[in-house]
Amino acid sequence: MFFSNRKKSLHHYPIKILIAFSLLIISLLSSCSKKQIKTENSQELLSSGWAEFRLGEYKKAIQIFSLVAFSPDTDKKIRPHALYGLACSHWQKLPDADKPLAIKLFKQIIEEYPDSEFAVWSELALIRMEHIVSPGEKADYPTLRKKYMALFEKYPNTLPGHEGFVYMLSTYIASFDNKNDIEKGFELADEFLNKFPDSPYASSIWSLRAKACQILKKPDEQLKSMIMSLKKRELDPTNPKMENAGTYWAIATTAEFEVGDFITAKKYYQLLIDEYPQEKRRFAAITAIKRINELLKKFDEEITQ
Amino acid sequence: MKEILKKYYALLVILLVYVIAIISVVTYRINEAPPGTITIRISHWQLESGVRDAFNKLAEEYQKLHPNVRIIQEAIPESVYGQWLSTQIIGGTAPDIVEMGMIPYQLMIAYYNRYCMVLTPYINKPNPYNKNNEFANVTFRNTYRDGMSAAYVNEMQEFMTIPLSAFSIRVFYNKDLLKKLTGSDKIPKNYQEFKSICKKIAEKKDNKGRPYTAIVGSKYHFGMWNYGMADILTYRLMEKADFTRDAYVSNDEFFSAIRSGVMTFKERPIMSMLQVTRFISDNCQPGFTGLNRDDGVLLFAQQRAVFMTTGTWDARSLQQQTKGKFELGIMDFPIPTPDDPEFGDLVPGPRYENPGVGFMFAVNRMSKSSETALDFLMFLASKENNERLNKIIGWIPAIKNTSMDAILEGFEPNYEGIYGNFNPYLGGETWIKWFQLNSLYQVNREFTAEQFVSEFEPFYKEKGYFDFLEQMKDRQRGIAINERFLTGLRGLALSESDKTLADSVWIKYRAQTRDRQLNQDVWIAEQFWRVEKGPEDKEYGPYVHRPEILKKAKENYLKTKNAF
Repeated sequence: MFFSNRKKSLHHYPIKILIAFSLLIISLLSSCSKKQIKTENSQELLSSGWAEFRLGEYKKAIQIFSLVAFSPDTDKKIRPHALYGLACSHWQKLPDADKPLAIKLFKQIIEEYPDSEFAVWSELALIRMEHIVSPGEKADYPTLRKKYMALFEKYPNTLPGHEGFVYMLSTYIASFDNKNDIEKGFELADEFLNKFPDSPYASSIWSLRAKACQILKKPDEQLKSMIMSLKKRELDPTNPKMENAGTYWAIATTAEFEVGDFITAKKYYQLLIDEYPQEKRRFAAITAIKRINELLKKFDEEITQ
Repeated sequence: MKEILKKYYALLVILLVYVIAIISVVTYRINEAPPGTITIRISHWQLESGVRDAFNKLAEEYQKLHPNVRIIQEAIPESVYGQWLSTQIIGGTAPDIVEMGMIPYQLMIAYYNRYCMVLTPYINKPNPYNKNNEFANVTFRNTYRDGMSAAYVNEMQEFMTIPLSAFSIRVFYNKDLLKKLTGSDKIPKNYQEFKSICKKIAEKKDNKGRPYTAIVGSKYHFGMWNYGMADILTYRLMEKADFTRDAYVSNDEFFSAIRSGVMTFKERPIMSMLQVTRFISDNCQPGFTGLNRDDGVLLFAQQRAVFMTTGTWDARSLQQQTKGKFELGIMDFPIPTPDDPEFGDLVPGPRYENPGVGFMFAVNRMSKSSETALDFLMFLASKENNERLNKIIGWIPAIKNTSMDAILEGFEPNYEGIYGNFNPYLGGETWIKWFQLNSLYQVNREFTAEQFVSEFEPFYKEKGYFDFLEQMKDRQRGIAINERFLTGLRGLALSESDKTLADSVWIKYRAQTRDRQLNQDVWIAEQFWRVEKGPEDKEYGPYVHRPEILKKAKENYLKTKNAF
């Protein structure tokens, strides 16, 4: 009896029940989400936005960054960060990047928050967007160089400023055919290293300088730059894949075959052997030391004769 | 009451059975894991003999230390492990500890990212289960043979797994059959001895008149034979084509050397490599290229073949399969030695070997007992327990200063030796052509090495440039991917409120920016330069002292003689 009655009553009011139930769910959901916006810390939201970005969940990242960027409660200090996250997400989202919107947002940051660090990162991002071209295309190096240089000159003491400088320098060194460009790159590297010998990117500048010297056939300067690049190299101590074996080998072979500096060559071959006992080039380094020792013996014999 | 019973008789029976089932399941669960017990499930695809026994044995020992913990393993066949893992992980029902693998790499990265516990904070502290040995104050990662490099996921900049074993490749042989067919139990120590033994074996027939096979071949085995014996003959190609002097011949360097005429496919190292490939294929069973791994193992188990190569992961299984039938031996690849009359000049040293560390387990981030799961993994990765685990399985321990099972003893890896430098694999059409000709070369004795390279080289020179261009396009695509990765890392650094942690992420950011992105334009331009213009110095190879350099070296030496 009971079942049949219930069935009847349900049959009579299905739409009303459905509406009431839906309203209940909607009100519950909306109250939960309101509560979340109020209680969640904006800083935590930004972290979760970046976490979604790293996971490749760009839609979610955009939702979170938008929530923070356009919420009236958001702190003014936080807003440029949220806008920056939003702009980066639109720029780099897959499959359909929205570059025009990203550009608009980056420009908005620069205009509204000119003193914020995000303004500098945004300026760099705008140049990077021009620098990174589709496969098979060539970037417009002269224009890029001007823009990178302007960024560096505007923000000479910032990380993005230095990063922009290295990107600019690499466009000069990448012109293998054009000696003027290489020489210009060489000069710019020296100027930078004189002013900022301890820049976080000093190692990269020394490394590019070494490449310029190689093209310009200045082996002694090349070797010096390679050694300086190693000295200034910042290693991530938590990354076991980051090591100096390849650099030791490169310095040793340059010293041996380009400079004729066997002392330096032996020193770096030996460093590779001692510091990296499982390195693939170990046998070659041992062979190289034997080879150098034989040559030195031969030199001795020639001197005695 | 009776009426009700009559009316609902069937329903009540079902209900009763259901209640009994619930009681029995609950009782079983309580017996297996009493209230308060932490149950840790561990999944893997290792159905090789010994793995499950080893886990059970070590779990028992762990339970002695932690009586409230139960370890349950789920061994899933490797053919379905990938699908199984995906289903479990996405469904939120994955075990507490999972062996990672059998899925595409990008998917694995996504799983690490979303579902696995980041282990970096634990890796740089000592493993508490090493407190009674020499590693008491050594960071966990430095107790590993490879410094735990294999566990580091570059895309995430974090350690995500704990490896438990190391692996390498060896030649397994039938000791009894070797003695029967050659009259001696002496194993071949070098290529010439191996050649002579293979010749003797090929001359012998069994009582049914079938010829014996010296070398087990199959799609699975042949590549390993080639890698172990033929590839190393190309070590010296770096003296001609390693233009960047990094001790490796990259595919663009190889192409540039061939295209510019600095090197041809008729170079002695390449022709010698093909000669050894032919020797191996000549001594495999007929039709081996169409056979799979099991067919090859069957031939070996039936005592119709003497030598078979495989990884140390198969050692225990082979030992058990052949137990009571014949005695199994393990030896290194019989490669040419420096005094070899045919190839001695190409082999200045032994074969370089760095065993890969694997058998890697991640901790499920969603697990209620993730800390206990990690603790169990650290227990398995302590020096003594890792040695015990691997002795039972018959594998090589991943931890340093450990001894291995008797069957593997004497096969410590060799970190001082030579390696192959044959690298014409630009991709696309040239790779397919090489693959087709190589397959033909392996089965058709009338197709000579000279014919092989004469047919391949013009094709490689003509089509290789287009494959190279495609490769460069991929590299350009990589720049955009790198930019995305670096943006994510920068975002992490910018949003980190703890200064120490933020500094650590900024170091990562700068190091990754330097190593991945800052010099991309130069690297790409240099590769184009090299391929289009050829090496600058065609007269002297990269490892030859030019006369002016020798003169300068001598002058420098005179100036600083006392420094030596």
